[in-house]
Amino acid sequence: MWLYQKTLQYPVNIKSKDVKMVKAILTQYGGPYGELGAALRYLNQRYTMPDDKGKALLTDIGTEELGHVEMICAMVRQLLKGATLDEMKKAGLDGYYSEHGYGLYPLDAGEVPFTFANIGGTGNPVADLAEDIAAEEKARVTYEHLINLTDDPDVKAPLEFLRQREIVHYNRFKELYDEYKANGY
Amino acid sequence: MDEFYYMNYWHPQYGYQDLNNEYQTEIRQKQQSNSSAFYDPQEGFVKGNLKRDEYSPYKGYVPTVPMIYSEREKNLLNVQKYAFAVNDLNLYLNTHPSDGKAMELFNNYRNEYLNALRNYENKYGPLGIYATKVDVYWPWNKEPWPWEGGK
Repeated sequence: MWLYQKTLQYPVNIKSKDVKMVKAILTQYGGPYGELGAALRYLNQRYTMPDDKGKALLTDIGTEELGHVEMICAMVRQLLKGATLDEMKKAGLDGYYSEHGYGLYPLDAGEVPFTFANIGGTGNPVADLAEDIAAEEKARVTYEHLINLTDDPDVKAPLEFLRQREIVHYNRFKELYDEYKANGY
Repeated sequence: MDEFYYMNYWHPQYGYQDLNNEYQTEIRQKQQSNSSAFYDPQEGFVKGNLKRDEYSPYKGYVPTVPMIYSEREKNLLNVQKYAFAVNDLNLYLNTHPSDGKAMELFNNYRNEYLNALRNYENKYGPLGIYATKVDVYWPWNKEPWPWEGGK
């Protein structure tokens, strides 16, 4: 089971709204390399990890990713807070507004709703970990693109933090992948 | 110690600024004295990882300590910092289960986390449901909610 702790993993305190940035950041909520997909990918794959090491690692990283979902949602919420209808229209979020108002909804950058359809789960630990390693790299690059899109230090700091977490997760998955590969899984 | 902080640095006009200056200096001093394979919890927290050789900033980004706007946030940051250290060592120990140094740090930071958590919850209310003790009112459904920001 999971327990909720009333704190973000890393603080998000954004003082200036930025609706255009919302449109870009939303993909880390509902996009193919986003945090929701990451959490579900690892928590779904952990059941067929062959040993305690793998079961622990996928459980723990999957759990941390749920915390990252919350950080991304906090960023979206704070960037969107106080936005006018005109600002929503100018940022191309009039379609978003018509269905979701100022609420949160997991979409990718092309406004396609979150789907599990492009997330793998093969039941094979080496194949699954190869996907996980790739997913961490793709998320890292997405964070770099997002960092390029903003000048606000309040937005940059949590993005940099999340980017570095992708690197750490990549390293842990790679260590496990190499070990399983050597053991002939 | 916290009372001392409060009295000396909590000024309605200058309080936040001084609190942050003091905090940043404290952190710089700590950073300079550390040369192990792992960052200390504060430096690890702002960089996003504990293992020194894993840190790889994007385009020369220099991380800064998050601004704190109140004594409460300072206490919360302490909880977050040690929670982060425990979490990162947890992942590291999953794939390096016999690293003695990492195990020692894990135990230390776990204790620091529990102290920081107890300190925060005693002062400001529960962060988790099992720390929620009902007295005359129900303290759980009470702000601040983590996603709403510090200000």
